[in-house]
Amino acid sequence: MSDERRDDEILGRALGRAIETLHVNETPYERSRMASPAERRALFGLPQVAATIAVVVLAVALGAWFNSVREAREVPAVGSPTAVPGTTAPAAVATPVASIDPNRDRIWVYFARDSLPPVGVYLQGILDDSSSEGRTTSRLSLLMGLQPSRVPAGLLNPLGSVSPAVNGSRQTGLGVHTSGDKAFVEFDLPTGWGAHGSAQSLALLQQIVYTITEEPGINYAVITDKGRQSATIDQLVVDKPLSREDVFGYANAAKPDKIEDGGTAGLADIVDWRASVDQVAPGLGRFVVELKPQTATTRPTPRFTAVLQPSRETTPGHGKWTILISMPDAVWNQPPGEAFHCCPLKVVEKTPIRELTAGPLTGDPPTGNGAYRGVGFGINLDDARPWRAFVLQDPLRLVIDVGGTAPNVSDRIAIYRAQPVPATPVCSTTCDIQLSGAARVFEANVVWRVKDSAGKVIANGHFLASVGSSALWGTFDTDVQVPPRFTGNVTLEVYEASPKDGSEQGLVQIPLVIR
Amino acid sequence: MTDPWRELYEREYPRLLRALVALGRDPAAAEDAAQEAFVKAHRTGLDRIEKPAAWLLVVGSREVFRRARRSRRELELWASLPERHDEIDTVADRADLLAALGELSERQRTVVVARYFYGLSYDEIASHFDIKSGTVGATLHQAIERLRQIQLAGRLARGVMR
Repeated sequence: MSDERRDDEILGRALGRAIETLHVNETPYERSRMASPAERRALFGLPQVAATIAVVVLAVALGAWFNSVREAREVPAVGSPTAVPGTTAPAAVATPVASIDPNRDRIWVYFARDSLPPVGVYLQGILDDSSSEGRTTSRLSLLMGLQPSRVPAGLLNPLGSVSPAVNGSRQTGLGVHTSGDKAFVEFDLPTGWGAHGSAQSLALLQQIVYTITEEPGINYAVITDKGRQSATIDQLVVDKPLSREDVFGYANAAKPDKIEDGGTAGLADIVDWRASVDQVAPGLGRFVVELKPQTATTRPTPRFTAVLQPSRETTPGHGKWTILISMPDAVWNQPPGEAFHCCPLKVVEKTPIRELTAGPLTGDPPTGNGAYRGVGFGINLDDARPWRAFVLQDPLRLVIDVGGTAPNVSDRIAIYRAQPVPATPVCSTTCDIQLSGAARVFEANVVWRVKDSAGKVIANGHFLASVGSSALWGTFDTDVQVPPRFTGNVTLEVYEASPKDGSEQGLVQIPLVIR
Repeated sequence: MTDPWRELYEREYPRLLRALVALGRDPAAAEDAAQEAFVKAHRTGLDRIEKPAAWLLVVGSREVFRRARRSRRELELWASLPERHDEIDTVADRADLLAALGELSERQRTVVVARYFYGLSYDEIASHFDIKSGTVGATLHQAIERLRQIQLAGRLARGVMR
């Protein structure tokens, strides 16, 4: 053996001995994931330490439903999804298939939904992972050939009615190529698009655009009929590259935007962080960080900055946008002796929230017990629907809401529930409309009016949201009154009166029936 | 009757975990990757794995590097992260060596751990880690040489600071 080789051996063996002396926490076999099939499935892909297995299994196995049910219980001020007029019940989640490899044998595709942007779901299928074109073709083909029985309850698959041209046994009716941030998809459909009317056409277009832009780096879908520069879906002419935000139906796409607040709470321990989808209102994702201030103050608020920005993920499955929240005074406590681990992940996988991440803002724990001061959270999102931030009390929570029923949301008003109250002894018919939601308006002053079917104002007034003239949104839960014994179709309008000239800002119009 | 999985776990888990901690320098991520490697082994079936110890190291190390890459991306989003100071940094030469290991490329780290901690032969490393058999020796030598330089630099820096 040469001297050089011998020196290498000596150093190498020293390294081997150094590794041997590493102190590690050896999980016994009984507590290993392998020993428990249920835990194995639930924990797949989650960087959690064994000590937290019980908690994590519960949270992940029940997923967003667990968290959302809990959230709905905690915030009684907001109504059940079915209470919002003109919307469907919350969509069913795809049931995870336990026996397949979740990293390999499943494909994320989108289904349409009434009055709401499409909803993403994992379906079992084989993804052609050779290229972005291959993945996009796999996603579209899966939807076009999908049996109606595989469409999740409450969702629609307009692409299921689309039959691309077939040559022998080969499907030739779908051509995909990508360039820059655009995917060009040419459809050859001998029997047409199968959509009739504007609602069906829009639903189909939404489903196609969302599914095509699932590919990381692809932000626009260019859809054409074979041999043409555009596509015509019934009466709808599509002749431009379309992003998810072009078709999702909200009046205002959220621009990359920032919400921040200086806070009064000082240091506060993180008690929990979680998400719910569709529980507070249909199409609404809610992220919550629950905090316990280390020093008691009256109506504490946490210091935070939240920024929406395009996702930097380059692999599929993590969404297109991220809201990054930094909380410099939040304290992440680790049990003594447990090693810190970076970036825990909570998989949500219900549109609009794909997953939650967390991590330290700085590297070093300030105290010996492993507590980290300064924590960042990320909410990975399917699209840039309008979003808002609140602080709720008892317990103290920072809440980020994303989306809601599209027509009920503007840049400064978001109605979560508008529900005529059934007749009471006082009013022979309805005289109240229960209204809850959020507003970011001057001096918290929210203005409303009710118009009859002829457009005549039959009632009006104003009320205060919990917070005004602030980067934070205020919430409200109130009744507005219509004249006694009035029946028929009405439109409830909610807006901010401009402090400059009284003009209507952020108008939201909700059709209701009063019986 | 002994359970072959328990036997494998009890024999290989501590060694795998140490190797993954050394490779990724994140004990919790290593624990997670080690658990995941066993789950994948279980799913694959013992009869289809020729050399379970090396197989687990291959799968576990891939997982630990994948997570580390993901973690890096996440961290870059929030802030530029100062260097971590784990407890191993405070212990003399061994800590220097382990810290230096973290400076090597993923491939160099894996080969060094496979050779000097797992004691795999050049041929075994070549077949399991998909490296040309002729380049295992060279990769090892370059890795050790770099380790030596980094370790030396670390010692010098400590000396200067004292």
